[in-house]
Amino acid sequence: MNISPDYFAFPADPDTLSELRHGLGLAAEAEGLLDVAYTTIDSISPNTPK
Amino acid sequence: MKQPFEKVVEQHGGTVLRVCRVLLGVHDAEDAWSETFLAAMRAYPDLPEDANAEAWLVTIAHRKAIDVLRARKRQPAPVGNIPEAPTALGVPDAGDGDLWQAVGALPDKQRQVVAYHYVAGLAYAEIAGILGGTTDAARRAAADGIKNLRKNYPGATKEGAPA
Repeated sequence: MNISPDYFAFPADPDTLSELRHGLGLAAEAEGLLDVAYTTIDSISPNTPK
Repeated sequence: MKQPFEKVVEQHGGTVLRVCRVLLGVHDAEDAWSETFLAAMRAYPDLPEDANAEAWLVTIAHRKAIDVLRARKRQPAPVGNIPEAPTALGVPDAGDGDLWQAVGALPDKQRQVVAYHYVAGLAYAEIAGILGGTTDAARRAAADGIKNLRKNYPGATKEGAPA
C-alpha cells in the first residue's frame, strides 16, 4: 500500500475543460465581462466591488 | 501588465477542476468550477499583478465548495441506498475509484488540505490562509489525511487502484 502525493497529479479531462471554458465564455459575454476575459489589464479598476 | 483572464483559465483551469472534484465529487465540481471562474473574472481587475493566481483561485473555489455543501445539507435526503459511484471524484475511466471513495470519506478539513496541498500544490502557509488556523495545523491535517487514506484505501499503488 503506497499513496504518494504524485497520485493526485492525474490529468484533467480535456473535453470537460473545453466545455467548461466555452460555458464560461458565454457567461462572460452575458455579463459584459469579455473585456476582462480577453484583454490584458494595465491598471486597477477603482470601481470593482470587493 | 496582467495577462488576459483567458490565459489564467488556460493555466489553472485543470487544477481548479481537480480541486473541485476532490472537494465535491464530479457532478457538483463542474458547477463550482464555473462559479469560481465567473467570480474570479469579476474580481480579476483588482488582483495585484504579483499575486499567486492559483492560490487566489483555490480560495474562491473553497468558498464556492462551502456554498455547495451548505446547499446540499438544506436539500432533502435521498431515499434508499445509492451506491457510491466508482470514479465519482477522479477522471472517468482512470480506475481510481477506491482512492476517490477514500478521499471523499475524509473529514472535511483533511480532504480540503489534501486537495489544496497535493492537488493544487499550495504551501501549508497558503492553506492556513484559506482555512484559518496555523501552518502547523494545516500540515498536521494533511498528514492525518494521508494516514487515513493509507488506512482506508487497501490495495493502493502509485500506478493506480484496481478499477
